[in-house]
Amino acid sequence: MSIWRYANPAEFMRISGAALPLCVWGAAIALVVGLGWGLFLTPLHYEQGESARIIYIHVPASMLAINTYFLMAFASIIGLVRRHHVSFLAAKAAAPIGAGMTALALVTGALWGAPTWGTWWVWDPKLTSVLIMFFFYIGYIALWNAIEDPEKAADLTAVLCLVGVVFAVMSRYAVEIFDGRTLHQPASLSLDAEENVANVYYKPLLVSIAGFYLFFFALLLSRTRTEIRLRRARALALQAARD
Amino acid sequence: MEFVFDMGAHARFIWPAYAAFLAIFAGLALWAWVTAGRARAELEKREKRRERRE
Repeated sequence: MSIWRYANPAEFMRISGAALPLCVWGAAIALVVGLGWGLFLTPLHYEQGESARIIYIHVPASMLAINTYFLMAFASIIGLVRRHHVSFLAAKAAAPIGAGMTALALVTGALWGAPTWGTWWVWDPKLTSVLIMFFFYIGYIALWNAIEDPEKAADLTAVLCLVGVVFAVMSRYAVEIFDGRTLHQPASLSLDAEENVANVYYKPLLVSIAGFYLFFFALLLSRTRTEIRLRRARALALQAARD
Repeated sequence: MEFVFDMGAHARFIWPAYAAFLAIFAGLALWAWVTAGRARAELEKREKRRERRE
């Protein structure tokens, strides 16, 4: 069975309608458990003290900020190459969620940086790339709203999204690329277990990440369904005007 | 496992971080819910109009 059948709006509405409540309830449970566990039940960090409790928000928000941009770029490429409207609409639906996650990553990063680095902000390659990526999110949303013709808006925003991919890549890999010249620490999670944060912080962090991702998928499904309905309503309005 | 509520000197950084999380998540959820309701109502209205015309 081809994966492209999900690009059919009717099929997407059917499957997403069944998946949405699962994502909502899964997100609610994982967020309460992960954040409650991390905030109230983990021990004091030997180096960073209590401020390490911000990790349960900052790390999942940063992961989603970057990965949402990659998802938008992937959906944009599919939209441009295969002309599937659901791909463009999914990218459009993801943008405000990604912008929200990027804003949260920037705010919590500043709140974590103040007690640990002694500064709210530095023009470090990683932080600067995330800030520019945030501006790309805002630009992408603004461009969708500025162009009346949805077909033209879909094409132009897809191109803008692909231009900004370089900053998503920089946001992800700046610490490795500028080895030793960034204030930001390496990733808290790795496939190499030795590079991960200690187990006592790692488990609630994983639950919190699961909660953030489920929340993201719930919003993405809901917003894509909304965009499909609006597109259908617009088509009916145009048809009525022609008759 | 010990329950910790006192965030010590870092409370002024931790609580605003969690408040920002709540504000952004609540804002995104509310926005998705409101726009979904509006889109559903708009589509129903258009479909009813089309049915009346046919």
